[in-house]
Amino acid sequence: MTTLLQVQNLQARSREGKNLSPAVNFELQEGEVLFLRGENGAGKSTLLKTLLGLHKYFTGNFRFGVDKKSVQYLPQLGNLHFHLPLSLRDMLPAEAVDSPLLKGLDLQKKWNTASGGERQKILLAAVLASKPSVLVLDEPFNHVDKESAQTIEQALGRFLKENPRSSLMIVSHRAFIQEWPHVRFLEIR
Amino acid sequence: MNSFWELLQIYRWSLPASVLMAGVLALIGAQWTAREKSAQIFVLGQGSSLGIVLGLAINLLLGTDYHGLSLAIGLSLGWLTLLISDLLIETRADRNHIYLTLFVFFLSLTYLLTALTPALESHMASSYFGDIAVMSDFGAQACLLLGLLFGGFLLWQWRSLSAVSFQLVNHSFIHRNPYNRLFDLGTLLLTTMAIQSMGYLYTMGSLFIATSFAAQRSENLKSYTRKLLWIAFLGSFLGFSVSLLSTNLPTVPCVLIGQMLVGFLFYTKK
Repeated sequence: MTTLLQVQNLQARSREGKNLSPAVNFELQEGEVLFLRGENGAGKSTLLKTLLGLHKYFTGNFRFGVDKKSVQYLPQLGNLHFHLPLSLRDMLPAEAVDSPLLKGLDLQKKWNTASGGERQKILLAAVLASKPSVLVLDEPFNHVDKESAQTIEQALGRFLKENPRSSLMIVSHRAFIQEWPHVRFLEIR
Repeated sequence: MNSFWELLQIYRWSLPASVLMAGVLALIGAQWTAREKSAQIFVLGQGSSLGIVLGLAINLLLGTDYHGLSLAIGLSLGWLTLLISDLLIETRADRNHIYLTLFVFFLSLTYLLTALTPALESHMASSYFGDIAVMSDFGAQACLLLGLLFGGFLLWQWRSLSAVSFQLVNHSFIHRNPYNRLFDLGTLLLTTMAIQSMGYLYTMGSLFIATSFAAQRSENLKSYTRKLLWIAFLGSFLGFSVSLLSTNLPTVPCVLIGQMLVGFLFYTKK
């Protein structure tokens, strides 16, 4: 099995040097699903952002065993109002248009008027289309209705089945219905 | 009517250059606004303006006439402004007032420089409020060439740049993108050139007017881009032409009002 990510004593810090997360050690193997769990404010999202280069202040080290281009990330879904009037179709690469996630969606609808579930399905369809080696998801079921959450969960399960060498790192409070292969949990506290 | 055609002959380079640059600046402004960086480009423009005025002052002091010097110092100060804002300001949540402080600081320095060099006063006015009608043929040709090249690049990479803009505001931009780097560099170059040749007011107006109107009622990226270009091209052409018909009307305000009127027509059109 190939190690896709190696993390040693990684601790997110603020610009002023304050600790934003505990120090963590873990490895992510291909085909694995790694759940990051912990209380709100424990630093789960900041750790993910540190790994992705979006948060610059940290101690410890980490190394991806794959090209960074094959890592994809979906942050927590906020109530983002985007200046450009993009339709949902505008946000999809050509290879994502046939994704089962898009079933029943009106792709002419504008991003700014779409619901949380519609937005998350579009963003997920777009990242899954590139068949990432490592998929990083931060609370993908927040602001999403129950039905959409199920669709998203099924799509993730299908993706892992069809791409057995891909791995998933996920922050989520949701108890999953599906049984996924090679699941591990990392407590952040 | 004959005299109008004669005037068009005189402005055969500056008219198409200003119309094309309005379109290219509108495309640049659309992406910067989408990236929530309008205040940053406002300051970048003022930084470049200061550099251009500094270049003029040095030329006056040395008794030389190197136009390239103003452009070079304008680009350097613009680049420095971008660097400061990207490294020190952009990550702060309360950044807008810092940008405004920086803008006022640059404006004060520009004014100070002009006050210390009285011969600069007319240059300062044209650098700030613009003077498209007296743009040199060489300046207009350079703007046309670079505007065509960069405009072509923007339209070619439009979807990809829009995706980057989305990822930047959605805090999910994790892959380096060479086209985005080219976009940043082109923005610096085109904005500085536009300020030097057509003035700060024309440049800032062309960056933001079209996108303010076009974003409101467009259905998708394609219809938005089409509207954006119509507002910039048609508005600028009409404004420039109206200013030619009267000896009292200055070009830049006419061009900007033209863009606003066409923008308003698109806004009200269902």
